[in-house]
Amino acid sequence: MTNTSIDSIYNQVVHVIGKIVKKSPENIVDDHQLIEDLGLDSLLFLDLLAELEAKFGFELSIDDFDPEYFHSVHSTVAFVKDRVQA
Amino acid sequence: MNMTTLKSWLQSHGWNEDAGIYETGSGDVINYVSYRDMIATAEQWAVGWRNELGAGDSPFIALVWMDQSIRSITSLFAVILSGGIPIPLHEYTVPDEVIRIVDWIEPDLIILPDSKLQHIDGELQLEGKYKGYRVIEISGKDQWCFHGEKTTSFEREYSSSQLDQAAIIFLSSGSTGLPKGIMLSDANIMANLMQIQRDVQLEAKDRVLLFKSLGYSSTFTGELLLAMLAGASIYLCSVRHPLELIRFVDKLQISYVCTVPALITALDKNRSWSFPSMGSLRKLLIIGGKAAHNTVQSLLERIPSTQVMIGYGLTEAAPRVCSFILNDVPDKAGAAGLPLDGIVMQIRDEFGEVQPGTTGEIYVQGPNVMLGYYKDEVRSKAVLTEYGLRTNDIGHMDDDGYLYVTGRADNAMNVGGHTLYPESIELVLSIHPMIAEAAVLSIEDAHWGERIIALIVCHQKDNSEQELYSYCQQKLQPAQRPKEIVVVSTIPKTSSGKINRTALKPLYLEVHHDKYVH
Repeated sequence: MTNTSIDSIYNQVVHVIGKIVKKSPENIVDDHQLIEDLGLDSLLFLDLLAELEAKFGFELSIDDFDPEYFHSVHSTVAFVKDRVQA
Repeated sequence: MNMTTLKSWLQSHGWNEDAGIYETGSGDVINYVSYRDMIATAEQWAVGWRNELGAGDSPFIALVWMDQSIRSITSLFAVILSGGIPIPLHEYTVPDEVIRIVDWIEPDLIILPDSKLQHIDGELQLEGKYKGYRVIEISGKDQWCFHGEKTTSFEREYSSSQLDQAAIIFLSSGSTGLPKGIMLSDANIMANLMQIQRDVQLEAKDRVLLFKSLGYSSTFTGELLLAMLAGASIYLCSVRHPLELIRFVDKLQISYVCTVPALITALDKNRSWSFPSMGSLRKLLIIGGKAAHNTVQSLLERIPSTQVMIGYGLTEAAPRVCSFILNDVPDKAGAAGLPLDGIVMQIRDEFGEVQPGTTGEIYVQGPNVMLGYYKDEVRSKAVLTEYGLRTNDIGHMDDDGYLYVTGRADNAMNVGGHTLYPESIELVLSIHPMIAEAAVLSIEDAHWGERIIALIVCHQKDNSEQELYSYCQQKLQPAQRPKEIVVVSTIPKTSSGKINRTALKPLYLEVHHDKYVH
C-alpha cells in the first residue's frame, strides 16, 4: 500500500469521525480521545463502526473489541489501516 | 418472608451468600460483592445518613446518580433502607438537565460518586450553595461524606397521599422539557417483581449481564431485583456494540440478557459470529420497542439453545405488562405477548372496548399500575382512568389474546428503546439565540428504529451548524440529540398555530432531496 493511500485512509477515517461527532475534520487531531475529547457516546459508537464498515468494506469480528482499539483517533485509524491492508 | 415493602424484603430475605454483583472492565472481573454484604453495607450507610440528616422519621427524597457500579446500587438501597424515596438518575444525564431536575424535584439529598461530583459540583453550588439540599459524595469502594449545611426541616411544599405511599420515583421522558416523575409504591414494585419472576423463571445458577441504565425501572425491577430474588449473579458492564455483547456473554458464560431491538438488529446484521458463540445464553429478553420480524426469526436460528422472549411494558406499569417466548410460537413474531399473571389489558377506542383485530388504545389494569406522576395531578388523572392505565400506545389483540403494539397516540418517538418527545427537544433548541423556531421529527432508521431530525428557522443567515451540534451535546441526552439539523425558511403550522407534525416529514424529504440531488 502506498503512502498516498495510507494518508487517504487517515483523511477518510477523520472525515467519518467528524461526520458522526458533528465536528469539522480540521478540528480533529490524531491524539483526540473519541469519548473524552470528541463526545462520542454509546449511540454514536455503533454509528461510527457501522459507517467505517460500510466505507472500508470490512466486517468487524468479536476479537476486534480489544480495549486498545477505538479509544483515540490514532488507534481508530491504525485499526482501519490494519483491516484494509489485511 | 415479609413481602410488604421493598425495605422489609431487603432486610429479611435470606440472601444467597454465593451470589452477588461483579463489576467488569472489558470482560475481566475487577470487583465483587455478595448481596448479603452489599445489603449489610447499605444498612450501615442508612443508619449513618439518617443520623447525619437529622430527618427523624420524615421521609426524604434523594436523587441517586446511577452509574454501572456496586456503590451506586448500594447507595440506592441505602436510601430505601433509611426510609427515603430514591430517584435514580441516568448516568448519561447532562449537567444542565440535572439542574432542571433538581429545581423541579426539590430533593433533600443528592448522592453522587466523587468522579461525577468533580464535574457537576460547580453547577450544583450555583444553586445557592446547595439550596435546601445536601450532597453525599461516595468515594473509593465504600466511603461517603456529606457536603452542605444541615437541614432542619424536611417539610416540602408539594405533598400528596400518592407521594406518602411512594417507594421509588423513576424519571421518564416527558413532553414539557422536564421528565415525568413516576411514583411507584412498594406494592407496585413487589407485585411486578413476582410477575416477572413467574414469567422469566430465573434460577440461582443464572448469570445476568446488566448493561442498561440503572435509571430505568425495567433494569431495576426486571434485572437487578429479579436476579437478587432468584439468587442469580449480576455482571455489570458497559456494552457499546453488539459484538461486545457476544464477547461478554462468551467470556463470562452469561445466561440471561435483557436488551433493546437496536442491539438485536445490529447483532443479527453481523455475520462474523456463529453458534456456539452465545451458547451459554439461556434466555434473551427483548424489550423497549418492536424488533423486526425477520431479525427475531433469524436470531432463533442463529442461537438455537437460547429462549428468545419478547416483552412490552412502560414505567407507569412498574414496568412489565406482557411477554411471550418466541420459540414456542414463532408465527407470533411481531407480537408483544400475553399479559403477565394478574394484569388485565383492554384495547379501547372512543366508543369502548374493541374486538380482537381492531386497533385502539392500550389500557392496563393490575397491582403494578403506578400511584401517579410527581407534582402533576392533572396528568395523573388523565392517564389513571376507570378502565386502568391509559398507555398512549396504540395496538390490537389477536384472537389468541396476543398484543401487537403498532404506534403512539401522542408524538412520542422511539430511539434505540428510549421513548422521547419532540416537544421537549424543541424547547431546548428554541432557547438557543440563533434559533427562531424549531420542529423535531423522526424518520425510520435501520439501527435505532427512529432517527431524530431537527428543522430550524434561524434569526440570521450566518449560522454555525457546529455551534448548534455542540449546544445539543451540552443540553440534551445522547438519545435526544438530532442526527441532522436542517435549516428551513418556515415551520409548517396548523390553523391554530401549532406545529403541523404531519407536514414535517414531507418538508424534510423535500429539503433533503434538494440538498443531495442538485
